[in-house]
Amino acid sequence: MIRHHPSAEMLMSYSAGTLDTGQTLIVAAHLEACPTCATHALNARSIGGALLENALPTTLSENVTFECISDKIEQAERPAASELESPQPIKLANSLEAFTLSPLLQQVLQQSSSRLRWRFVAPGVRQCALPLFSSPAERVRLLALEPGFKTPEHSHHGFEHTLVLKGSYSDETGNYCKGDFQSVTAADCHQPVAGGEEECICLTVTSGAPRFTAFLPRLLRPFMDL
Amino acid sequence: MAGSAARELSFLTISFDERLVEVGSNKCRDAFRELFDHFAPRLKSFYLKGGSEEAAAEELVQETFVLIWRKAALYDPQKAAASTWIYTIARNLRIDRLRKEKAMIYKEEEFFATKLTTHETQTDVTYQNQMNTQLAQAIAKLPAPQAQVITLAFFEEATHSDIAKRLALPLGTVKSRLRLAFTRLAEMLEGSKQ
Repeated sequence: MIRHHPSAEMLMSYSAGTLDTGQTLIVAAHLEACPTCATHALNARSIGGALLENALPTTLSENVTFECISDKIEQAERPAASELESPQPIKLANSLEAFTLSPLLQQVLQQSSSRLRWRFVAPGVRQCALPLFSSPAERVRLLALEPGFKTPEHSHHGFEHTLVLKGSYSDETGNYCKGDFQSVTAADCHQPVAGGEEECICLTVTSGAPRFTAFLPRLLRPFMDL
Repeated sequence: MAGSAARELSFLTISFDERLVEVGSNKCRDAFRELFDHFAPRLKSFYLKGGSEEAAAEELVQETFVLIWRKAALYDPQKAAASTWIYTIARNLRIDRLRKEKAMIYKEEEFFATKLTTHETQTDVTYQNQMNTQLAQAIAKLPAPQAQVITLAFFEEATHSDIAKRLALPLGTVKSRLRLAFTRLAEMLEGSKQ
């Protein structure tokens, strides 16, 4: 049962196509697991459709007539059979494990698997950057916390969106399980603790490098002192 | 007057869903032409508002119709109105020009939508048509400031911060207007499914 969802504004931006790539990815992955949000997103696209259908028309030049479209579709090959089939979920045959929550994410990880590595961050924490989806505006990665791992308390200089893929964690605002989505803004300060029963793996999207560099030293500080 | 406009709108909406089905199942050229006549000039507006130059916008209109022709067999009128389906294709094409990775995420959205809406056991094919008409009317009835932000967000591809800048409003105001408008429209959509 998914209890934590992206905001209505975020779902609208997703549906309009205006989120940055990493945020698009994390919302899309949540939608695959959450029929409630998927319905909201479809409703939002219906709004786009209604606006399009009732929009003011712009006169087309003589370059765009029905006849020239007809010529184009004559020339276009018949669509390949594969184009008309729903894609099958791909099984991840590498160390990244099977993320059954989201076939889309599986596909993404599969495609870039040769370049993906889990890297040690601190005892109990590993991360795997997804550079293909990262940009100067946002950083996309997988984060793996050992069972019961307690992150040092931290705040964020920008936003942080988290989707739980495996296991669970809790912070001051609640308990987050598989499929749950959390958005944390600069104003929030939290201390997530991984559930004790199994490793917790999350997809996270955070804004900008400066915020990341500020976060990393904080995360490492207690361990550096050892 | 309003009544006759509504009837006309309803007639048009029904025909678009049915026309798209005819294109998909029978490769019907006449149905395709009707879709072209209505949507091509509006898609041009859509691409121009999104920031494309005249020539690029027209090229995108053509690409959209090639895709509509090729993918029409995938259209399911019980899942979405024709306008929603065409909007999705157009949105994806617009994104495809700019960000390939993002386009990849959206590529299969029609498939995922098919899978995810199975809990709705609607068998009445006309429900999407009715809903679409009601939706257009509901958008027309929104308070002007809400209609404005909804149009900027969905038609002009403006981010919420862009909208705030363009209207010289605080970001929080833009977000709350969007949320209000969306809640109102979503309630109407949910209500029409009962």
